[in-house]
Amino acid sequence: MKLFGKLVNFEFMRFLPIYITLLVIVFLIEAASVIFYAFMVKSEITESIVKHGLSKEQFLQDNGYASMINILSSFIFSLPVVIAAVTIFIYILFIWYRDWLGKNTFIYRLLMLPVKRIQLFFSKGAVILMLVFGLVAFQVAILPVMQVILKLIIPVDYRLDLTTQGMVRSLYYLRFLLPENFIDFIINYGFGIAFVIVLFTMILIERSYRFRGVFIAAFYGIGALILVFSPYILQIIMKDYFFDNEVLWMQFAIAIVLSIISIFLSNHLLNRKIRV
Amino acid sequence: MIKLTGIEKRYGRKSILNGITFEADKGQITCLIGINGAGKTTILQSIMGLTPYQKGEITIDGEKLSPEVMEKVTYIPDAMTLLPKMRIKDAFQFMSDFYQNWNDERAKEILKFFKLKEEERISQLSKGNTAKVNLLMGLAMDADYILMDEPFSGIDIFSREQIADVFSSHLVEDRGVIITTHEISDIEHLIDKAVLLADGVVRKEFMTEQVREEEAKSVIDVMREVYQG
Repeated sequence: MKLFGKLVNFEFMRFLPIYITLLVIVFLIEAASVIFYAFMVKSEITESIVKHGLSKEQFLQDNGYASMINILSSFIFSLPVVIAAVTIFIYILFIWYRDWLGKNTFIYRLLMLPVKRIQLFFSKGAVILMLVFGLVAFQVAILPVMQVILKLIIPVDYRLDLTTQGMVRSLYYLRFLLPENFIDFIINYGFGIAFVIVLFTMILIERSYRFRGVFIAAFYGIGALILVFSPYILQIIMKDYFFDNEVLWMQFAIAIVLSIISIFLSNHLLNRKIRV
Repeated sequence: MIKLTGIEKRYGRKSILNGITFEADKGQITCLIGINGAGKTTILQSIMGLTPYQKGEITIDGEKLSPEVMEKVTYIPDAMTLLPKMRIKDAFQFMSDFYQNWNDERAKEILKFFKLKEEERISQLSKGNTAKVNLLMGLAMDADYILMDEPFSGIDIFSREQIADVFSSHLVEDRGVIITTHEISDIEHLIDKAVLLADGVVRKEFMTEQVREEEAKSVIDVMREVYQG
């Protein structure tokens, strides 16, 4: 267990410089979009009230309050998080391939470590999960900072402040990543974890059988996808016999079974089939 | 003792190892000799579980391969296996974090022996120094067996001499060494046992001293007989 912790730490530290850069980018672009929005609203206020002599009430009636809600739904505010999410997705592939295809073949060293090889699998998976949780936590943590920036620029009379929870609810992807009830949290992350596990297994299939492995991995991935969506197919065949909730739970059960099978398969590949 | 029995290995339809059987004892230097493609590296990788084999059995001191048993063996590949951005001291830290049998004192001794500096980055090492660091990482472990893959490959004469000196030092004393090479001249006088490979089979296996004393032949003489008829 101690070695597993060291492995996770080691893997995490390898991505840390890129991760910090990503978080800085997220902060800067989001802050820039808040500043841009705030100054735009401020100039509208100035123009309406000073130049055109509109009253505060008239302005608010025409334009509404300036609020984080307007920024949170904008594309530019979501863009850095999309970039970070895509980077983490690419890293799911890169986290394995860099050990084979990097300048030095580090996979030799990893496979020779005195730990059960499946621990490499779990440590890399744990790092991906940590990166996602870290990104979500960072996003939640900087939302109040963004609101402070808005407060510094827009006078209180023209502003509608939101609570942090209100901002989380207003940001589409955070609604998904931080759902209100625990069951949704388990389901959302359960599917995410199952996806990573299946993808890791596909990578290990390819690394074990190389050219032939590309086709086997593709077959495995497509098969997994069909299985996960099979309850929908069943629903169509049975003409909406099941409740939507039941379909979701069936999918979730299939995802769990697939994850378990993938872990056993990965363990077998790492111990018996993998090549440096 | 590392014992290989009937190891068979194929890449697709191509057969790489065709029933390799030999033993390497502790306290001896066993040299796997053969031209490129003879299967030398594959044998070492099979012992380390770095490439799968289809048939046969490998045991270390009578036990099948497992993470616990593998702590008895250290592998020195012919390529650098540490991250380029690591400094040598980071590599030491990495090894001591993960290996109970990492001997920091010995690592520093070898570092001094090879005239390397802890602050040097892996990416900035010359080819000769890369080979030395590779060797260092393997030798600094308190392992019973050392597997070395082509330690002299592509390096200058002075580095070769330095590396060859290691074989006659206390650093490998009492340990079992399996070394692969196709450049036998550097270590001919140091090896105890030679295993001549060709086309994935053991063509001849002999104790070098016995051949020298009883037949008055060098390892190279025996190689000529085996490979050139």
